[in-house]
Amino acid sequence: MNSLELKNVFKTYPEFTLGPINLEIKQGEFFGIFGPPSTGKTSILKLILGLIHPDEGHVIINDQDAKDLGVSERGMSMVFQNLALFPHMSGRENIIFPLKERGATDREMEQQLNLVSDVLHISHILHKNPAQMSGGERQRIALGRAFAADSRAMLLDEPIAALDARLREEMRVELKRLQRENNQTFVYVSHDEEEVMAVSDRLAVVIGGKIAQVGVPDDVYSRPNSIAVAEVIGSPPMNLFQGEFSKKGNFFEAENFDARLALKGQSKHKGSATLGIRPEDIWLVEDGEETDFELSIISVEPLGGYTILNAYLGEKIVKIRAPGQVNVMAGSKQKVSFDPRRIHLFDDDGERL
Amino acid sequence: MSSIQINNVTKRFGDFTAVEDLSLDIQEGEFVALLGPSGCGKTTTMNMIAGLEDISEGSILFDGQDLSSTRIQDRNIGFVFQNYAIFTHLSVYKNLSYGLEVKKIDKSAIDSRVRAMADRMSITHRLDQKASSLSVNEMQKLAIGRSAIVEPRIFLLDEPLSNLDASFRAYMRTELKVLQHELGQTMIYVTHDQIEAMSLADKIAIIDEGKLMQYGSPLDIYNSPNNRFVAHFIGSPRMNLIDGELRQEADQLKLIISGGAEIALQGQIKSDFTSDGRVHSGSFGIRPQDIYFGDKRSSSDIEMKGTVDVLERVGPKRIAHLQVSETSFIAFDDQDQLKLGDEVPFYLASDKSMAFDVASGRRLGVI
Amino acid sequence: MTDTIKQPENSPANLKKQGYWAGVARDGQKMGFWFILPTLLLLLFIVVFPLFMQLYLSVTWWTPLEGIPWYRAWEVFSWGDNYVYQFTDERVRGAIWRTILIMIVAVPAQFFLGLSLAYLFMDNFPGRKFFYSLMLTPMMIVPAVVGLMFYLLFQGTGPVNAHLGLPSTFSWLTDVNRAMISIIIADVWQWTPLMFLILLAGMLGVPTDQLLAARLLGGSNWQNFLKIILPRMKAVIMIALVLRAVECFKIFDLIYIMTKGGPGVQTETISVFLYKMTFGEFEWSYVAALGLTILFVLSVIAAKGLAYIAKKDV
Repeated sequence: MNSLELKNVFKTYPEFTLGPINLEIKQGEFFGIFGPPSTGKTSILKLILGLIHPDEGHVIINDQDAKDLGVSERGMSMVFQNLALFPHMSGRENIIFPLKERGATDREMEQQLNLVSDVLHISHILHKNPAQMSGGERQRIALGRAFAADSRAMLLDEPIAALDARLREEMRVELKRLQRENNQTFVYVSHDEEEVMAVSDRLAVVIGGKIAQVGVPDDVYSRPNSIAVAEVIGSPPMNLFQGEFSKKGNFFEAENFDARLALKGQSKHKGSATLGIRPEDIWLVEDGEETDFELSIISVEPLGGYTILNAYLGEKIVKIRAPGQVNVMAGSKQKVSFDPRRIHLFDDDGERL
Repeated sequence: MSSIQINNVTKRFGDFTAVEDLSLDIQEGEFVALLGPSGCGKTTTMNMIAGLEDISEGSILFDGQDLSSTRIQDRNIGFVFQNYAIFTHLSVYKNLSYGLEVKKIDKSAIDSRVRAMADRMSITHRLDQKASSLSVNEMQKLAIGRSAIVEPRIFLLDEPLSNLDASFRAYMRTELKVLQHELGQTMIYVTHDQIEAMSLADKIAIIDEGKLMQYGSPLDIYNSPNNRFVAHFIGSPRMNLIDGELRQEADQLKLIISGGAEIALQGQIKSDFTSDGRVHSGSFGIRPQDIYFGDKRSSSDIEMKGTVDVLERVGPKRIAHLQVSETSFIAFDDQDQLKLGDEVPFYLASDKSMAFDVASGRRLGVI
Repeated sequence: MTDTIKQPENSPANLKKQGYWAGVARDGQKMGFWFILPTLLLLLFIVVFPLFMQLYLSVTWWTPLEGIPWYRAWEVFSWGDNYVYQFTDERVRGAIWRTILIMIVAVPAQFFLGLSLAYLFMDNFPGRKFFYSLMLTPMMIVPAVVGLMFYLLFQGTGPVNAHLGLPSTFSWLTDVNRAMISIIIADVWQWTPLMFLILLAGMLGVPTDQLLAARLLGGSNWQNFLKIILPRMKAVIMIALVLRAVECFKIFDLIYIMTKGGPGVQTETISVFLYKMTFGEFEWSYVAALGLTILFVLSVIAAKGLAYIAKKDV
């Protein structure tokens, strides 16, 4: 059963047009919306919530067109990017506010309050006013308020962006657990690609006001269907090289470097294309082995569990993700190789593999 | 370009001690990150270096010189604020030239230096525009350029990348590293993001609640954390730290963890935990990559059983959260085989494990 | 107005049924109008109606001494005669000149004094709150009382002469030049606090981190003041200057009490002149015309100032 649907929705803004948006979000799904800033992600949430209305198309909630449903009738909670906490109320009062409005009993409110404060670690700041809290604490109170309302669906707009990196990693796991336990539908907007990929059951990549790809994270990661998606999914992002196919279609010559890649008869495409390869699919080659590619290392980022190398191939910067810790110095030359089966090929805007 | 010595510096705000007995030795041209959670005192420390805050106790020396009696405007310290503090009423050009104008340098010299810096920061096309019309990313470059142009003795950056969107952040990280090498500046960089610190810094100083936890190169800290806080803070994904009570049963040493499950300690990790007789509550540390599935590889490895509670895709890898009674272990699902709800056996590589004392946080067993 | 009696679409009762947000999104504009209506009606009665009355009278010869009620003033129509006469009236010329003179000296003096004081108050110092309240007291005093204060101070036998060691024959208020000086001093004393208040608010609106950044770049206090603080205060400075200039132009209480416009008409400003014309000689239609001319001139000045402020976005 579809919990939420957007059918052919359009919304015109002075800077760009949002649409066509076609999304189907199932009941109990953790659905992520990812894209660069200011491309309409928040607007999609507002359309679902009913704060704004589509210029064209329909928002359908539980198989009913939401056109005549007011915001408070849609059974949703939203966590806003700017939190929108009531400044004159304490943390506690903020959280129980939606329950109070709906006429919950004192016991129900206490119960929800305790549940929520435990998970979000906010019991010790409930008495404070938002002005007395840190950014991270305020964010958790806003989450608490949305959760306490126990709505059918939760819309979250960058809900953990203000927290420390470490706390963010922990919070997103908690959010996922909460979502599963309460069997709520979550629509989660973020511009942090790693975050959205980690938490979502399915996600939509929104670029330039349009949906570039929808799918489960695994698919979006391993089969991005356009260069635009490939550029934004993955940290570090995919290395992309523009070039041309040879006449017989089994060699690819890239503009930025002189080597040719033998493709082992894969492509039927002719002409120009873009080749992509993910940093983790390039590996360092021991001395003594033969390979076509030698890079000059610009910098090394040792992250402990893995290492990121920035290197020049000709004039283009290539990023490599090597497992573990490597003994490579900046300024040295390194030989690398890659698995031709792991490449992604794109024509002027689509993929074929 | 200066070296900096922070000697036993303490900062108090009334009753509250923000920084306690902090000592750091920063070499000329080094890129040092001050890393820690919000409110740990890293920004206060940086403010003290800049002279924006007084030092309660201790001293900070620049190339051996104490600047505490020098006025802020004469210290020649570059500072990039978290929100950039760009002069929004001035043009980009005027922002860049400000530091030179106040030194009464002549116009033509200013002009050539401004244009060179704008070129270096790739904002030449914005020179005549009002600074307020820049995008956040461009503002960041302007903030850095504005400070760099006066060739300060050191460069202080206060969480400079936290306002940027995720993709630009990665790009700026590389840029900053290259820039620092080119300028040869001593740079001190405040952040709460350990990935940033690991990728950029020559040395990292981890601070928690005003105290220095550890100071060393990124890999040194990663491979040999000397306390529980550091072990927990550094590394992505984070290290598993399982707290529990040590119990000796016959010749078996067990760690009883939350919910009653047991970790049977053997080999090196067992002797680490027993190295200090006073320790009763221990923390078992193991990195996700040192947990594996399938067949046991070494006799000293520890076998556990857990339920797959959460699966996360982080980059090219899948992370599984394994629930063992009330505790969670994170591990890599390299084979992409696990499903939610699976009950699986898994192994902890005991020679890669680390022991910590819960009470003091101290690493156990390392000489 | 039957519309207001029936519950309008956007009354609180109806809104609750639709959901608050829906109501606002659809009818935001309309609701605003209803809120403004009472004030609009008040303004109409107090400002617009008398204005038209004044316009009406200004094109007649009417005075209350004519014996006819004001609404029949059309019987003594004079067209633009009052307006023409303004320009040739020696007394009007003199009054305007003197008013402008006071304005040109007093307003800048208040401004620079207020600016310097505001700068001193930018940073915290012990007793700041106390001195701040102290600073504001002069402008809280009724102008007439201030007038009386300085009248007494500047008497020949008063404290000013005593402290300056001047003989009691050294007159302040009856000598032409010195009377102007004493009036200007009184005005500056009373209204510098207003400048101080407005300019300090403007100064505190300058983002502190930008000031810090300027300092770290090597800028001295003076350099930062000129390059960062002042430019960002342009709108506030304009507000303060326009406000005070317009008010100063209308200066009345101080002068009337200190010198009554004397000696003779030597310190008569335009407001004093109008007052005397109204209650002394009952030339109400002339006063009406003059009043409207001044209103026009001041409005133009204020509008220019506002336009400048509106353009300024820092």
